[in-house]
Amino acid sequence: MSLIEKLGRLWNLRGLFFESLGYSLIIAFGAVVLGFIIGVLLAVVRIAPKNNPIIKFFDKIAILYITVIRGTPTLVQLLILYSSVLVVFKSMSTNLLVPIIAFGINSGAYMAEIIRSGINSVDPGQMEAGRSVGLSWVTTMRKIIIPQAIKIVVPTIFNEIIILVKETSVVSYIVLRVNGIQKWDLLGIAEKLGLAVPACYLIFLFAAALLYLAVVMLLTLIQHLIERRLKKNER
Amino acid sequence: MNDNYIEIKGLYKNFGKLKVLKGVSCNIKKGEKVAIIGASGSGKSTMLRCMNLLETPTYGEVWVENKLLTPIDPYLHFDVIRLSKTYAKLSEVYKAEHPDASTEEIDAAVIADIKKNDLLKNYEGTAYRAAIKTLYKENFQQVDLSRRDMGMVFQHFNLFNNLTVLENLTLAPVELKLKTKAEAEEKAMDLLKRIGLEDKAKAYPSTLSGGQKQRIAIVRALAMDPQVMLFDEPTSALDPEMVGEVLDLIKKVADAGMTVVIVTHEMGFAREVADRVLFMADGVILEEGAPEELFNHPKNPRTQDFLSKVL
Repeated sequence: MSLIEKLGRLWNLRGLFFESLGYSLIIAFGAVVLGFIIGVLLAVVRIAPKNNPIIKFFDKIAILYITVIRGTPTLVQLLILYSSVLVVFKSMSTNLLVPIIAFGINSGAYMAEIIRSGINSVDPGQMEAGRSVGLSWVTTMRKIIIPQAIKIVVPTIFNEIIILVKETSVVSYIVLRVNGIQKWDLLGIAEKLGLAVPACYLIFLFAAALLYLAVVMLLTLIQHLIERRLKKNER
Repeated sequence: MNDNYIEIKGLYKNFGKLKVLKGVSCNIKKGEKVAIIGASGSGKSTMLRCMNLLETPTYGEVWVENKLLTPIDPYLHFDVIRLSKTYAKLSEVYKAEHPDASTEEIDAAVIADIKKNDLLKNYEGTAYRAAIKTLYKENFQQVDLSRRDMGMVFQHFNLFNNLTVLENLTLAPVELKLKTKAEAEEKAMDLLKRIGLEDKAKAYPSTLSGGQKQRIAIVRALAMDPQVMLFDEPTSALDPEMVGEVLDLIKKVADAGMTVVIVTHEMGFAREVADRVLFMADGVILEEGAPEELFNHPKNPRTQDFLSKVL
């Protein structure tokens, strides 16, 4: 077999890689959305004035959540959730939600800290000025603090999203199923094909790496576009 | 009822262990111009910030237009005390001990006992809790309502950085539904014209000089049609060449009949504009009086010392 033929055969496997990239992206996207929602909720609880016992209680819960989730490895959390689901449901024909929830819960803790520190880094004088003209805490947050905090957190949020996209590669530790058929994420497919054709293992790994890189570069581009847009209404 | 616009009674403020205000009382009448002077750390800014409750006093009361802004003391509300479980229990006991006492007598004795011995606990039944909650809520809303009438100007301007100059002026009146957007913008443009900055309406604060920022901060407060203006060292963060324009504007505001409270290091300005000057040191008002009196014949040795250093 000539080199061209060999390369041609490898090229024919591209569909498998793209499909797996798709699963990786679905998991990452779902986890980002879930993580962002959890992050916003936790950040709001952490930042709200502690003037009533219910908020104080939720604040304690939020601190506990953030401590535990940030203090344990993502892979361990994923395996714990995956195994618990196995125990409860025995088998699921589609289990994409398991990694989405695991990564979402994980990312939520990081997002919460990012959002909290973003809001905290807005000059406290802005809140005072808002309150001094009679606006409520909520209105000042909504109209003054959050718009300024967004500008501050965009780079860090994108950093977290990029990390999350790459972190989804630990999904290859669990068995993914879609409609009862086993599927693989991007790293998973490279490993599976590598087992079948050990001579090409490195090539498959490079292919996966290139695809991750492409996605991250695309995300970086989006980040720059958003940052430029936010800068526009400054001057 | 009296003609004091702001009344401060026995105000204490601690930041942790640091005692910043140690029992300050003062009244500010409608239309009065009051300057507060004193060395840094004397508590003058803290007192000003307590007036609109940007700082919550540790003890003491702040009244604005005869409305109490500081957190409410349940012991002052007999109706609330009567809802408490402690009250029910004690009045039973009292009734048993004094079978022929009238209801008024029981009431008076029990409330006096509760107040004197600080008997109210955290949990006093749902009716009590609901009454307290309503009280706190009304008090809480009153703070926001009163702040609308008290314009505040900060040392560091604190313009809303994410909004244009025009939006800075219109945000609060429109959000609080005091004016329509068109009305608010008309008023804002009028105010900007008066300070000669109408061409900056669409600019963002980051493009303005310090003096321009502070003048816009002043008209932002004026856009709410306040009853009183509080100035917290409005020229301390400015380059020297910009102090004049800001002081001129404050003088114009004062001359137009606005009630003004100003914390300042500009002694000449305090003397020129104020009707009354308060000298603060170590968290108390040491001396107060008409500017001529206080600046020319200070009585307290601390005042004499301070004035000899700054004049």
